[in-house]
Amino acid sequence: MINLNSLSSRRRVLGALVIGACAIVPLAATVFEEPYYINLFARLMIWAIAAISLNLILGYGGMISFGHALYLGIGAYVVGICAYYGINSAFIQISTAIGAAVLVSLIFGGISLRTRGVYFIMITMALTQMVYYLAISIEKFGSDDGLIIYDRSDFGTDLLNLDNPFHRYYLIFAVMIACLYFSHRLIQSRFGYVIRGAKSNETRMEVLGFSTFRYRLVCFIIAGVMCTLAGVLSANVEKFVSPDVMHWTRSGELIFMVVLGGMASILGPLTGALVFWLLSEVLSRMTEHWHIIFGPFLILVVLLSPRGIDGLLALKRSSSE
Amino acid sequence: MNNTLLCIRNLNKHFGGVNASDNVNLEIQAGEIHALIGPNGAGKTTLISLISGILQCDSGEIEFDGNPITKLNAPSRSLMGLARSFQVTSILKEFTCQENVALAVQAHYGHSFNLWRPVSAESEIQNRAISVLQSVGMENHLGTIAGQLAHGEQRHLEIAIALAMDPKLLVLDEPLAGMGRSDSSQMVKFLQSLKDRYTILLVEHDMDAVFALADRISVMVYGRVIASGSPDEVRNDDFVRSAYLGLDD
Repeated sequence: MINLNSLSSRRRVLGALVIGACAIVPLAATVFEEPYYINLFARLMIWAIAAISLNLILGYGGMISFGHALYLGIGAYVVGICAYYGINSAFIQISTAIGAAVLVSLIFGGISLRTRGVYFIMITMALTQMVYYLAISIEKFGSDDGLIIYDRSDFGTDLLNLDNPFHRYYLIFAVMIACLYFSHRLIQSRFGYVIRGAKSNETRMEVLGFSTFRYRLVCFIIAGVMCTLAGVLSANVEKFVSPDVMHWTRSGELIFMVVLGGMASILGPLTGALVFWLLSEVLSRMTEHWHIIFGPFLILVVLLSPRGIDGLLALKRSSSE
Repeated sequence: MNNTLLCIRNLNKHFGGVNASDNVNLEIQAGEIHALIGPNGAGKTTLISLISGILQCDSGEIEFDGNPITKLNAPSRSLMGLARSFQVTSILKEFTCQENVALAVQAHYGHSFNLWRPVSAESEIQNRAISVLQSVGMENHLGTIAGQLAHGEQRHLEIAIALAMDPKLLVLDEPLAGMGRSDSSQMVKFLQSLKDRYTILLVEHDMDAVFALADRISVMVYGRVIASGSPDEVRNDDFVRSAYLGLDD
């Protein structure tokens, strides 16, 4: 029997392991004198946050956005542009980024959510590519060379100084945990049920009395804002932003992570991001053309377990899906 | 007091060259079971979709409970108390029975923009869902995944979902579709038990069920309503006999 709300013990163990590992990385890296790993895992968690946000619309809502990396770009460019004009306050940067994300996702969602299926995929991709080329065309902000960020976001306190790799790391960790918990609450709320119901049977939901478009749009905006936070964090890790962060292949990678980890599972995107990164690291050391191995691997996972790694771990699931 | 709950005037719907609804006029009185019969392809399901708002008509008017609803979409009509079931079972297959019914309750329980509180903790919604499932005799299936139910049970769930919306008008599209004999007679008994509490528009092919349940019957052929009246009137109408019932002889 499938119970969407319960986590089987194997999934719990894996989730606890991954989160626990993320929690002790800076300590371990310090002990083993490999500080390189702090930023590496910080990046990994930023991907995870982006994938968690995509999972809300893709996994739970059935909205296959092929342009989600746009919001990574919005977050990172807001930090970059603010820093360019000497506005370093984290609070101003974050609220500007959130405002921009709400505005863009409201407009883009309002357009793309009127379509379904392949059309939705194409439109989300096209809209993001538009912004990608916009970023390339603005020379002031580095065009395709990217924009170097000289100062990180400033929270105005020594308790949270992003130039300190530990502070930076644990801020990202905290944001990731918050996103996980928020998703967990969201999908079980009234709102979450409407989103999941609309994925399962939209006509039924309309006849029940739900104007599904509104709920989808709000979900689209929430996912956009969450991913924008990942972008803000990314700018603070890299001290650099370029249009590449919004390229459609980035959006594709986010979809890989979600599908690999398991759509419509809370921890799926996190494991997906981890496995994606491990594979790309290992395979790209073996050959430059690592995508040739990665592609078939992804197809195999989807064929063997439509619910990704999470589906393999879940106990007593019916094979009916 | 006007007793007409649903009033359809000169309703038209064309699909290409086909008149699926050709100047349809239909009145449903509060409290009655009104059966809509007719051969396959007569436009019964189209008419139901026009009533529930899944399709929009080309011309004509629909009035429900004294309000014009012709321009309203499906969700708004549903919130006004118009519930429908589908000929092909339309349930949320991945959800449990209780979740299916709870969603129907939730739809009519204020907005659903609460992003934080688990629905499972909203006891009002859950209690109502459980009591509706009890009323259709499905209290043993609260936690069963809807997609794993037997066909007859899925048909019951479909009706439970409609009942949970606390409808003024229940539009049932072939509730007996695909049912065996024993399931059918059970369903007829169940519909009988709803008779005093709900106004029902019933589309059905099973003539035994129709004549057992209906207070009034309308006959549809080629997108037109060719007769409306009591079961006896319809049974004895020559035109109806030749157009539809006659086929059975």
